[in-house]
Amino acid sequence: MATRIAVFSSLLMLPLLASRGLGDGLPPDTTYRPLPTAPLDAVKKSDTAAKPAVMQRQARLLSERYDLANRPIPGVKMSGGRKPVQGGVRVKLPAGVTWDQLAAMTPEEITQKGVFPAGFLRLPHVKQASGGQVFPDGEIDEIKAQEQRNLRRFDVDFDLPDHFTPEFPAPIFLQSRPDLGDVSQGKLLTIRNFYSIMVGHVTPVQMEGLRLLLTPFPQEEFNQTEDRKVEEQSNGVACLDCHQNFHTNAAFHLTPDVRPQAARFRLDTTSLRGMFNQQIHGSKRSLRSVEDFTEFEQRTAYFNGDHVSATRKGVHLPDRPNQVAMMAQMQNMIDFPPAPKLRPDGTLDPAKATQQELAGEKIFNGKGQCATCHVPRHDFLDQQMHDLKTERFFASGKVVNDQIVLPDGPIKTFTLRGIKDSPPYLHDGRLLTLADTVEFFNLVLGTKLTQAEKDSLVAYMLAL
Amino acid sequence: MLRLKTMLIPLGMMTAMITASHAADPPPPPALPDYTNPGFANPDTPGLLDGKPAGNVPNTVDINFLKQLAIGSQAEVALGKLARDRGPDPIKGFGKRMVDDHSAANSKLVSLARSAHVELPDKPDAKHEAVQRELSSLQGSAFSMRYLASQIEDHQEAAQLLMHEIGSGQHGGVRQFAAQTLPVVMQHLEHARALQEQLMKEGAPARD
Repeated sequence: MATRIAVFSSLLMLPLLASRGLGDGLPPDTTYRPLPTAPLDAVKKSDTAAKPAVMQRQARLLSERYDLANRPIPGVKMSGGRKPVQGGVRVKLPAGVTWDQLAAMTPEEITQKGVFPAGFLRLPHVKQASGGQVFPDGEIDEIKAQEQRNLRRFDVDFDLPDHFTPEFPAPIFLQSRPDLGDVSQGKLLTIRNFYSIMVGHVTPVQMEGLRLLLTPFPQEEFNQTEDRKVEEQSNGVACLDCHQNFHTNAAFHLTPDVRPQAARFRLDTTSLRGMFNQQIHGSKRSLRSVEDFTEFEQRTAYFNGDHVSATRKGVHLPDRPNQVAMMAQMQNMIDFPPAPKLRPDGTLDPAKATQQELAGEKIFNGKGQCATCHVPRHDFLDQQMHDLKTERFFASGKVVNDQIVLPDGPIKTFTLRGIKDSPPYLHDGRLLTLADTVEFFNLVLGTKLTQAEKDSLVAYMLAL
Repeated sequence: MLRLKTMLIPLGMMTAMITASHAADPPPPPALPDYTNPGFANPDTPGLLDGKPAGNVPNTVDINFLKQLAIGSQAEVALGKLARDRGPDPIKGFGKRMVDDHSAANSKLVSLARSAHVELPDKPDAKHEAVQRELSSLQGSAFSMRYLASQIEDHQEAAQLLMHEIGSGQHGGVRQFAAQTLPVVMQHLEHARALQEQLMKEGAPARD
């Protein structure tokens, strides 16, 4: 047997030795970003002319997939107390099935009947072929007002309705000064105002880190070369342009970690709250420290994981001991919003929680299987990447708005602390409400929850 | 052998399922690649400045794609015939599938290339000729393993080519062809991987 296997293995090696490599038959720009071929004037004209149709196409996709109405949960606001939290399941069901019927079907049956809700599939970028960072209007306006820096692209705009994005500007909680509460003064931290907002609250090293996190550096779409998507030459973008006030404004991007372009998945900006307890970083890279992440983002979030393009457009390579360490320290000071009903071990305090929230906690730890990955006593993290294998429910290879429907593979567990502050949900923002996440996982994990159990899970997550 | 047959059922079902779902309800309009990044367009493309690059003018990506895919797809037919005629049982079926599917794809490719004024290569490249020579000297499971290894590599390459065309091509018809072909190529790849896995598990010639 062993000999036969050995013979087999050597046969398998043959093609590798005999043939040319895979790359010899592929076009030269399947991995590296190609050099632009058209002049910027022509690109601008073309992109600007196509923009309304591009935005309409995305709006059509969103309204086909989701109920986009502004329907907040009565009395529930995000942590700053200003923005209501949207309620209800917003992913539309395919014709002729209910959620319970779907939950009763096998993955094969769902694939065969083609009834996996489209809102559970990858959410495409507004313009997959160009990709890149897209900021919501609130961020664009505020940066324009404070810094006279333009974050508006000529080819695309932000696509989700404002009521499905986080509170803006978001409150800022410091784990080093829990006594202070929100220190944001209701303002957006920028390179113009950060010192007066944070003076006395942070150390000199943290302040310098903050300054760097707010300093714009060239980026793939926002730079000074002809290969850009912004009207004038741009100083670039700052880390906190997406991670506004160390949280998120739902700005999105394409993952830097996948090729070719049409296979890349959308990334919804993740919150930096609770960074001190997060040990893996990046959508696919699983970097083991926020220092690594901060350093490498200058070529990944900024340049799509293409260090050659970064070099061309003016890359910022922060010095590891003197700059990266300070940027990382500042990020590690950011706390979750207060959760007064949680005890130190991450469980609900029965004296403070409602019956429904307590019922939700039970489902979370039991039938719902949520706590398998979102471990309550570890800030609802398990420091792992997991593959949900959603491709069990659909056929791969279809093209939707220039993006290919493909398996996503393993994605890291995100924290659920302060989760009501962070719509939209999942790594690409494909789910708009917490009720959507419950339906998604109910189907994907096959937990067969009742409506009352689903409702209690949502109530529980609102208390985190 | 039994195990192999059991394993193959889901794949067979999948094809049946796809056919069935088309039969059950009216097919949804095919989702097509629509927009490209004009930064990478040929500057003389008609309609470029209006944001509607002419759908019938190929860019470099389209041209490369048509030529490279034609090389691979022609080879799939040639190698598929070898497998159909000389391979052991499950390989025969796979070979026949390659001959049928790739012959159909090739005739589409020829007419697309004509409309895009791209000249296609008319014979396989050196790599595939070498594989073909090698296969002619092999039999039984050695033949199967070598054939499947080449098929996996070829279909990985084809999937990459198709995905690249979908993201960066410009010619409407060619991008549409790529979008329609990709799911089929991904099924071929899955099929070949499943067959290979099964043969590896058996670890021995099934029959000669």
